[in-house]
Amino acid sequence: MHIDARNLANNSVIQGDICIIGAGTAGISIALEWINTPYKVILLEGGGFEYDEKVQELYNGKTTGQKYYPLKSARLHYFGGTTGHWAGMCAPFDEIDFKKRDWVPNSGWPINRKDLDPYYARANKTVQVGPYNYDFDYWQKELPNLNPFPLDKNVIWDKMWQFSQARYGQLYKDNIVKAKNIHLYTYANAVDIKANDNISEINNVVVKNYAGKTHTVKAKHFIMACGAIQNARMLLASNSQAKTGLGNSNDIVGRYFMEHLELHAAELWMLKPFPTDLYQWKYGETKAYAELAIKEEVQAKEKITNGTVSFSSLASGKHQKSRMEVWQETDPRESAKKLFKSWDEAAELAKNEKGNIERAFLLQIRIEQSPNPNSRVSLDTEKDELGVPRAHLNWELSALDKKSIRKIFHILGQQMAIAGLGRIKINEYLRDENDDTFPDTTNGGWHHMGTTRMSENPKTGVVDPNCQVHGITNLYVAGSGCYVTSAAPNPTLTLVALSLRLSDFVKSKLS
Amino acid sequence: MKRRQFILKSAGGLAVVLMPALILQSCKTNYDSSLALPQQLTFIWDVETMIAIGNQYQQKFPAENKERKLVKLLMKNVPENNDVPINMEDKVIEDYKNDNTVLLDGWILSVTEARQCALFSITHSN
Repeated sequence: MHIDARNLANNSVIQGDICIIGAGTAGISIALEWINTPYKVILLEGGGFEYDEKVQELYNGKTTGQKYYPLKSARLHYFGGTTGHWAGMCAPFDEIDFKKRDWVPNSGWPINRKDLDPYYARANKTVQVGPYNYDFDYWQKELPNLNPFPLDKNVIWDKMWQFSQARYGQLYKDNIVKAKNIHLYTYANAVDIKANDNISEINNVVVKNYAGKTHTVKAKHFIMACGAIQNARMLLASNSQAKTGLGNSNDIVGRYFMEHLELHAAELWMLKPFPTDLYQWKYGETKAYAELAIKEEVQAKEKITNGTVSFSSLASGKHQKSRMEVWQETDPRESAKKLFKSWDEAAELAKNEKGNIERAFLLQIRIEQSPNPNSRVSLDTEKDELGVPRAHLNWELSALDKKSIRKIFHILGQQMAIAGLGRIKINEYLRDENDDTFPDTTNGGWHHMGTTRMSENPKTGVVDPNCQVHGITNLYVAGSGCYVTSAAPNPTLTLVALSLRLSDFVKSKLS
Repeated sequence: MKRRQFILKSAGGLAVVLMPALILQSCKTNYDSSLALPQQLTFIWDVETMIAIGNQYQQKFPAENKERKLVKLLMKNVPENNDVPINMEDKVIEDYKNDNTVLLDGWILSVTEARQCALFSITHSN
């Protein structure tokens, strides 16, 4: 069922068994699990079914520290969320990503990979990729010409990705709207979360829209699913009872914001052509591909973080501007147009590149950002049209991040040479071992993680291992804000898995 | 004395470079001319790049910027009458396995092949 909250009588009271705040990847994934259950589910979406500039403007905010994308265009504020333009890359986290690593401060999840495996299998179906099998050997049998580089498997391995084309807004609209027990309210922006007197339980959520309507939502359980930046913002802004915000008595909400550093880092010049389809992909066509990953034992020995390396043609790559340079329009549609245009321009210039460069590759790394408490989302002094303080993101990286990238390419350079494949040339910003800074061209993946991190101890986390906010019995956070570390792969598959796990937990509480 | 020809493919087409006997005469050191030719690098670099990298190595390691010194270092532990090119390739791989590498203009190179570039740059400057 769908209701446009702009058309409701002002000061309506909406009631249900559970309330999911946000109809993006996490919120919709959870809502789907509740269809045809005996429970009334309220699903709140701040936008509508299409892009709405006035709603998108609510995501505007400030950024400081390392150069970042405009907050307004870093995510999409409508039904379906950022699946509206994601690339669809799916891979599970590695076992090491959940472990306490003594060389990575603040690492160590209270759950492990095995805890998530059953949910990864279900998540694969939700995002509509193939079977829950990410082994290279499996895909080499399934698809032709997946020839791996003959690198030392004790050092480097081929980590597999699958590709989703799920745009949740189109894919699941009918499922949600036609489900009798799912009550989707569009244009229902959460602006305040109200607890009981001792802040141990949430009583209701206040929602508003730019049509001037205000409504109250009551439920037995509330799941925040607005994305890592917005979830943190809402917890901090709901401070009429707890001055530092909800779930924030230990000043952790908003801290440990993590992105994936996605950088052009080096060039690989191959001695001769190597025929393979394993390391390149095309949207809408490729089912699975690989990026080069570093073995867990090597990460531990070298004390580096987890990252993977991908390949693109150097002939076009050398002409490409970084995404951080290009994606600076506050309208995400304009930024996307500029990005695609820059790719087309680079491809055109590539036609003039002949010779050895035709078998040379640009190497890009996607690497986890080590958890840094000073990298954080806080509240700005400026408020949005609905009266909520805007988000202020201070993105801060650390020396371990730079050291890890440098080391990974050193290892890759050695291994490529030993295998007789080629030579690696690292980019200038990586060459000085005494320089820990990152250039302004450092890309993020638009992956927002860590702002409501998970821990068994409320002094070191916002949510417990079930994603329940510490100290508040009926408030939960869904999504990548709960991550303790950010791992190498894109976050979507894991956030769906974690959300499905949370959904099961809330079901168990209700029943 | 052997004359060796090698072909470097460059962006502009083929560049054929002869290793002249002049080099061997000028320093009065008898060595296989392929010592100054990092074989694998010839597949990806042109002559100018090899010389530039060789010069950078000499600047970074001024104690090694003499032809005789470089020859001595490269020939260390190489048995007499052994196939120099193959021996150098083996040494290059051993360098990478033992992390005996050097960073020059961003290139991660084995010390052996960097020295070969240095020798190449010296012999091409004469």
